[in-house]
Amino acid sequence: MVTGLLFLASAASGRETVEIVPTEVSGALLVYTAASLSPILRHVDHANREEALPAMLGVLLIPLLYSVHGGAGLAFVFYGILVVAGGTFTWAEHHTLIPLFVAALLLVAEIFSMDFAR
Amino acid sequence: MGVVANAPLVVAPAMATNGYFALKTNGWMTWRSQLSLSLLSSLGYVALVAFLAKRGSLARLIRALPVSYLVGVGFGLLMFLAHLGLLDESGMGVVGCGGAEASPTLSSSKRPALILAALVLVAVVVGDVRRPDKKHVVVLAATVCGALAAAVARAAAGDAVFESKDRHGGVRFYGMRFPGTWTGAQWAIALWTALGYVTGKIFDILASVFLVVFVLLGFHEAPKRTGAGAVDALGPDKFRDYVASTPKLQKIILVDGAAWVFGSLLGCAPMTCFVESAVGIAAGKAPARFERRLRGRTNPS
Repeated sequence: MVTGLLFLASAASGRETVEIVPTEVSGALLVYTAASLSPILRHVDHANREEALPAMLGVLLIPLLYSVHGGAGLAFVFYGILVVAGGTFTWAEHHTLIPLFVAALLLVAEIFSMDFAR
Repeated sequence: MGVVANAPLVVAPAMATNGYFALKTNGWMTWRSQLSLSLLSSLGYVALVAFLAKRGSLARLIRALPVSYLVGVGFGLLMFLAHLGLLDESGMGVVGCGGAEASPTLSSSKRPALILAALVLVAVVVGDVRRPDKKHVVVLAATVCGALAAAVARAAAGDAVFESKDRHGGVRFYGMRFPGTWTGAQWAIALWTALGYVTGKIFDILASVFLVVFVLLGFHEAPKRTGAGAVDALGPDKFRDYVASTPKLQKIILVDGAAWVFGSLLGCAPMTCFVESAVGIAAGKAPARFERRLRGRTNPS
């Protein structure tokens, strides 16, 4: 809440206040933040290929596509295809994810339809 | 977020969807219409999330997801931030923009800014290594020192060295406005886009949820005091189940959605991304990265 109130005050006081910290400084802190949270990656189950490959795809696609939901959606579509094609689909384990898979397909279709619209 | 969800979290709702404006509805839909579409999408999103939360489907969905996927997309989000932190237009200036222009900018006139960025990064990393228990103090000190150094450099060499890169923004109440002249095809594209907003937002949440609670638990509620320790203590699967069942998560998601609605109504921060894209396009100037992407598509060379 303190941060929010300070942000409100800085927004009211004008752009100059927000720009006291240049992007070079905030950019360095972003890089540090990502590096310091990298231990989370050890919780990827690398022995389970159908889960590890989509996870790595998410790591790569999100920054490369400039899109969090684009990368996450494509990685989930990839996961669904691997589960079905790999023969490990079971109704008990995966049926909850079917609506999400449909949503991911719609999202990916919507993303790729951008070229149509233009 | 602080009052309702009691979470130390700052978010820019629907941040990534500005790409829709720049790439899809540009040219035939006015920025007012685009913001109105954003409002409709946000209402649909909040209704969907509230419905899922009430039925308990949200928790069941997260519990059914593989931990590896949640970790992967969460870390992808961090890589996105690190990427932005390294870029010339939004961060340290270590690398230029994408494609053929992805060249280091070390020889540019921004060398003093690059040196400052490198010093800040080295300072926080060294501080983290030497005093990991005081990392917040180190980060704050590096930020303040960096800002002071930038102010001194500005005074000595003018604004060019640390020139502001973001010139858009503003506060404006705009109201709903859809033109009656749209064709059926244009309405279809508009509604298809709204569907993209909603489904996209769901995956934005999935990408950030594990990470958000990982960080929140790490700093506030963990059995151990570090984020990785929180997952280790519970085990990845139990940690995911905890994430899925914590009431705080549903509050975070709903507050985030409500902020999207509120921002759409005002057409201002936290909807600055929409305003930036839409106003920029109205002025004939798309945000730089989308402009490059468009240029790359039409002219591969």
